[in-house]
Amino acid sequence: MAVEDCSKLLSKIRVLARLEVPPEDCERITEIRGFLEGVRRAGPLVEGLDPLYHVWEAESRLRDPREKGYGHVNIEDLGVETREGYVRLPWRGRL
Amino acid sequence: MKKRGSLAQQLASGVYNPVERLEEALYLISRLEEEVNAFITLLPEERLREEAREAQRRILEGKARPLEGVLVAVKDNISVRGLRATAGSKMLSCYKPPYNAHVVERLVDAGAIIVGKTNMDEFAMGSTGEYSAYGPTRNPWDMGRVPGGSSSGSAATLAYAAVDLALGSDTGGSIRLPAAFTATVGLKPTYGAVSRRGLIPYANSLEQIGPMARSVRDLAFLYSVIAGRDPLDATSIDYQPPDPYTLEPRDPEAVRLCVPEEIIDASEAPVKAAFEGLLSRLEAQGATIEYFRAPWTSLVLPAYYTIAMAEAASNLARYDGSLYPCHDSRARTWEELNVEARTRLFGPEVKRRIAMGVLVLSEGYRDEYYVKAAKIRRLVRDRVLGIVRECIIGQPTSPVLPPRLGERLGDPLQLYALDISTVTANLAGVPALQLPVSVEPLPVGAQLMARPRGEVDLFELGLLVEEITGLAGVSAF
Amino acid sequence: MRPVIGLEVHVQLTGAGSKLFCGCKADYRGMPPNTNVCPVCLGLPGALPVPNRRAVVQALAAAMALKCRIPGAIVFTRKHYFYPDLPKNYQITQFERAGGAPVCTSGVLEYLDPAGWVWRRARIRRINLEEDPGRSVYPGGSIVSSEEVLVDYNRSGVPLLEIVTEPDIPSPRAARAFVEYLLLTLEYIGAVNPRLEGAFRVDANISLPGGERVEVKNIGSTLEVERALEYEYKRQRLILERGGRVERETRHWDAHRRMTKPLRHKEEEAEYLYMPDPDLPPVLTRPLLGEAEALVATSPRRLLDEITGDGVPLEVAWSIVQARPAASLYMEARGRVRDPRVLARLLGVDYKGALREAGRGPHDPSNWPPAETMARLARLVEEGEYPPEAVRGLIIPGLVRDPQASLETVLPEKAEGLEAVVDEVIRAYPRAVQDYMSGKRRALDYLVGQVIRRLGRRAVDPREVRRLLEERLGGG
Repeated sequence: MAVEDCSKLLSKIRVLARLEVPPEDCERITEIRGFLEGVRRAGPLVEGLDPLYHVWEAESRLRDPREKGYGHVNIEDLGVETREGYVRLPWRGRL
Repeated sequence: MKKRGSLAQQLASGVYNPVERLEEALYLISRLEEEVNAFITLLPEERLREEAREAQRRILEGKARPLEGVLVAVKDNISVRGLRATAGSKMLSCYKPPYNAHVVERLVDAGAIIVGKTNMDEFAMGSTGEYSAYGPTRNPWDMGRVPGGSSSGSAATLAYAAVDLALGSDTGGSIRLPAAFTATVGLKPTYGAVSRRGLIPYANSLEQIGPMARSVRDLAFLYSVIAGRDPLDATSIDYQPPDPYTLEPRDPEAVRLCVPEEIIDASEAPVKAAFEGLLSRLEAQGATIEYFRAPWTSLVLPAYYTIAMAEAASNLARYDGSLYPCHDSRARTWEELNVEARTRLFGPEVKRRIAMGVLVLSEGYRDEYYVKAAKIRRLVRDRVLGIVRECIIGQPTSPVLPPRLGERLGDPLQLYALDISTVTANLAGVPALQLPVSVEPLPVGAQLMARPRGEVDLFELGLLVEEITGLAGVSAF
Repeated sequence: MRPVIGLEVHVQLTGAGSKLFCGCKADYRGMPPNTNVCPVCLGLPGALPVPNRRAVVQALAAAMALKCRIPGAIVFTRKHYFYPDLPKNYQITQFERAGGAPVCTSGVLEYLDPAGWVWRRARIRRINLEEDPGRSVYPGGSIVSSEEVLVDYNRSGVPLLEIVTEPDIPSPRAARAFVEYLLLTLEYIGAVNPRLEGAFRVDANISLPGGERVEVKNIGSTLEVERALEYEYKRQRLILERGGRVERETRHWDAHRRMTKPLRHKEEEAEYLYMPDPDLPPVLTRPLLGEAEALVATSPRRLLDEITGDGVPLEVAWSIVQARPAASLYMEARGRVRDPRVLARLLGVDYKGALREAGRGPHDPSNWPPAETMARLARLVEEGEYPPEAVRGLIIPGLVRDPQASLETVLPEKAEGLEAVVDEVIRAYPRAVQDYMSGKRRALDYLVGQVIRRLGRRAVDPREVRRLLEERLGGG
């Protein structure tokens, strides 16, 4: 992967992961990407295999809607800022 | 080096004294913890003393529960109600879970005393314990070396005997690798055997909470408490763990061990020597040792990391600065808040894994990376299941001796290479037990892999191996 | 210029009991903000989803009602996007291309368009069973401009069906009819009470020949479906007629101002990083199909066919079917009457109309009398025992006031029964009789009142009493 590809990748990550990865990391990221490309070596070994791992043996249990699991959470305990019970977060900022 | 008697035996014979044991532990903590840095959070001594007295009272009254007064350390990605759970990250430095993990409920019901929350690589992403936002953990066997990760603190505190049991989590070797580097015993259970409810997730389809201890029998003891169905974990299986009291070492004549050549070839000389030493002693006692080729070995690391990073990117999306606030934010918009929190509070390795996870799931790449990796997982599982139907797979747990602090930090690929032996069990969903084979000059461990739900096979063979090595109960202090 | 319309309807499974993956309530209405929340629906780390069986069964029933292809297993998928009301920043849904399978693919809904009473047909592309996000309030104005956002997670995790049609709908009016019919279908399954606030939302795609497709979001009622599309149709037509271009974009329906406003131009296809949810093994559908089938047994279409098969006009049948209790009553009582058309009219026109006049909801079964009462009333009407005015003006209002009343207490006294009382009153009030005879018309009102009083709780037509009195007293 070329370096300009990497800067494209970094801006993609900024959008999709809301995360800034410093350009200095490009070399490592390029290396890791090359490492992950190792999955391509599987070639014909994996042809026709079902990629859905959970088809193995499992089947989800279903819950009766009356069943109680977790207790209720008091949102204030999370340390969030609230107003009249609502969680208050910045949105568009002062325009 | 020190050797301690079996906790299981003390409990069974009623001689265990929680008050005395706690005082010894508190002494070891006061002497060693500052250097080792095994804990992120320790419970107040007074509270621990009170719990130990209460446990002692119950024991004297004949009302002891299975783990009455036993000192347990819990990895910091496992939720204990009201107790800070950072998962080794600055992102969660203020987070106090409002509920208990299923395994914690079971521990508490069994009478265990939780001593503290242990240090770990941030969000369990790391193999040395150095990626913690709370500083690296040191290896009690050699303070200049890493204890392995990501369950670094759980392994290290067992190795300096501040606790007798510990909980770790294992996504690609995170229990077994630190256990190998600290001469302790660790189990990655069959996928679904232990509930993941309350485990701060890294890669849900790969990971399990698992027991750690200084001997196979003690480990089996903890396992019998934490394993079994949890209706609130949809991936949990109906499963009865083996009874720790009735376990016996396996007859060596009945042992068939299959050894993958690729893993032996990838191991450095001292590791190979120690492991082969064990093999020849097993063989001398009548065990059958067979070598086999595992040509998929070169695929397991890229496949494992592709899947783990994809799931990590997904799981960690929720940390956006809103429901886990713990810093002064200057963000004026929602997007700024997200980017600020994530860029400032995630460490470099976590960021890299999220970045790669996003890449392998994005349009145009998903089929080339994520889907391919998922197919490789399927291939590995099918092949491994074919082998463990016939025999137990045995191999060194780590290809190398415990690295020096900082030695592998610079190069992520060097770090990932440490997992070559361990990730297969996670990809295949099978149980894998690590136990020490030697501690001179440094700890070397062996890993045994069995069929799904085959923990009993691992424990029986493990007890036999302990008879051979004599390393049950060993600790650095 | 004929528009092409496709709809994306989000319907909450308000009847599912609990949220889709946890035990919090599916109907959160009336609860203070953030009091219907637990670790699962807040997405706290380590909390795990377990699917709600009733929600899955209702979703399968919807898929059956819409004649879909149903997969052998439902596989849940994570769809990622950062939004304040989405606590995990991913939504658990289904997506075929990520290896998941929606609850339904390639279905069809035949819906009745009351404008012209024709049946129309719209293909259903797919149905997803997914989590509703929390609710955002933008205190400083709108979603476009507000400085901050206030979030209530009570709604987070409520089971939601996302029903996507092909662009098969020919007009704004038909779009409204489609949504109304769809909601009715789901109501019959027991999945939704569409009258609950916020129980459904509609996004609509509309394009005109020569223009790009515009998506209109945030439509909250069936009336507004028509209004928003009508507005958008006119707006686009005007642009095209003036030689302009209609750009591909997403617009926001402002119900207050009754207009659409630009929300954002579509960038390239959004990236959702779809991935099968590793916390959720597949849900096998086969063991649930029998249960789901039972829920679709009484569909609006089947009832309409049965009722019109009795000779009832479609309009009346539609009116009955729209109120589920009326439909049940009809089906129960039809075998006990000679002419079901009379029964249908009583239920779908007279009684329903009286409920509306009295400000009572036609959807609440307790506002309707028992089937036996309606059957007996229908027979009396068939036999011509009571004039239509008496039925509409007296009997039915009496039942509306007290649906459990026995028919006797609301039936007007017949003339024979009244005569004795009238005679009694004439004997008891000679002064009033005298006054009346001497030309004081008001005295008659007094006498009528006395007769009615003596009848006590028995219903009576005052006009009948007056007629009888006049007859006895010689015309006046």
